[in-house]
Amino acid sequence: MNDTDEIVNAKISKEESINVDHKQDENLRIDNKECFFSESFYRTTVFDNKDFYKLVKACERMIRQSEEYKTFIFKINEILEETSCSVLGNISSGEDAVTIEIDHYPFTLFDICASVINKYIAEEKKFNSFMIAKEVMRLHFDMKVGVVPLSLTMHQLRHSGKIFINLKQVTGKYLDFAKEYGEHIDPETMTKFIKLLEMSRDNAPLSSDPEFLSINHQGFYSAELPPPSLNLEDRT
Amino acid sequence: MKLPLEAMHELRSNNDMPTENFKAIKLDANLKLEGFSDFSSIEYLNSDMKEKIKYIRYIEKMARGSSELRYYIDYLKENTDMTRCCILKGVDSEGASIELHHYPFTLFDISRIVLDKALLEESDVSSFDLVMKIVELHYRGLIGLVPLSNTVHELAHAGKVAVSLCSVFGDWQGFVKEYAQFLSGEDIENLKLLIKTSSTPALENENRRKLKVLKRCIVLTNKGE
Repeated sequence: MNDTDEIVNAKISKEESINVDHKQDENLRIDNKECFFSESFYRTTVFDNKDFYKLVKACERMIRQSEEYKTFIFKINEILEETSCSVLGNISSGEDAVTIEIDHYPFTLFDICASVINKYIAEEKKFNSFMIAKEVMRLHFDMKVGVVPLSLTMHQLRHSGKIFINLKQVTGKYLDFAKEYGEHIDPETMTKFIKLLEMSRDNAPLSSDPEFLSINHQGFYSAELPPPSLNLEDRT
Repeated sequence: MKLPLEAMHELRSNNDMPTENFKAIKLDANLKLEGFSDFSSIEYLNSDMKEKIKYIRYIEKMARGSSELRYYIDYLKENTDMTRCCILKGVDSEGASIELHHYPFTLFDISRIVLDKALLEESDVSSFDLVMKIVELHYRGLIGLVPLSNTVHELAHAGKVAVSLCSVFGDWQGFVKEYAQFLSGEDIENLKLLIKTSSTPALENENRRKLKVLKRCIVLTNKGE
């Protein structure tokens, strides 16, 4: 008998047994006879919108924290070194030391995770957050997600719907994603996407306000303002 | 909902068109990111111990933060008898927080052992696969857990109180059986020692000495009554 056999076969008297059962069924369920609820490792559905939202957020968080995602962003940033904001084209991460973020567009990371989950549910396949996160990350590495580099403010304006970014500026085979997951994409998201396609085709402007993002007149060299005093004697 | 195919085709033809403001991300012949290796390769960890430790900490953190493990732990804490500190008598979840201590293997140990198996058997495995395996072992009941109050938990991690294997919930011996060849010599020696000492009254006396309540407090309580 080797060391591990000795450990495996050691008789250890349990103080008391715990009233829980690990069911070795296909969903790996844990159960307590005295309790109405059980918990399982795999699932095939979601209970309600709140459960769905929590699951999507859990997947999104896992992806963002993963080494794989960091590698993806690192690689994209490496490729985009010295690259300008897609809106304010004269500012770049290199020369101007501004932060350029990689925006998931036209589908957000939330949309992508939600669509992958919807596909599993529709196909009645069992899943958990790890499987969803892995599949979403695979979509990233296959470049089936759209990405666009944006400065922080433009990123915020894009998310708040204040500016429109033409899909021609997006890199990635997001159309392949739309085709593959089309029927599992939330209808509202799909409607927005179609609208973006149409606006891109029609070369719609950044904003309906032609003055939006133009430079404010700050009154430089205004004659009304007295020049700052340079009288050194006054300081003493 | 069907996509307007015409709009899609039109856009596709212009899809990778760089604009004057935008340097396009290049895709290789397979339409993957240029220079990307497979995202799931962890072979490099075999030759870099520092990176390996970092990676173990990372998958441990991912497992701990996963909703599946939190649901599992919450289920045990809310629906089973694992509500009482197994060392401090009378302390339960009604009066104090009870945490489930991974024992005799810590979550770090489990992560290390699962990673070592993957490194030997699979060259391509993502961190999601590894974390999933770690959490799956919990749901299969192969991970040892002990309910402890916060302070006792801290003392247990510092090695200042002894926890008997008799108090462990979960078939950790099943885990040893399944992962036998990936346990380190130190793991095996520790387990042998724990098996030997788990029923040693001396260790229980040591816990009593460490967690002895001040006489002053007992007197005050009695007076208060």
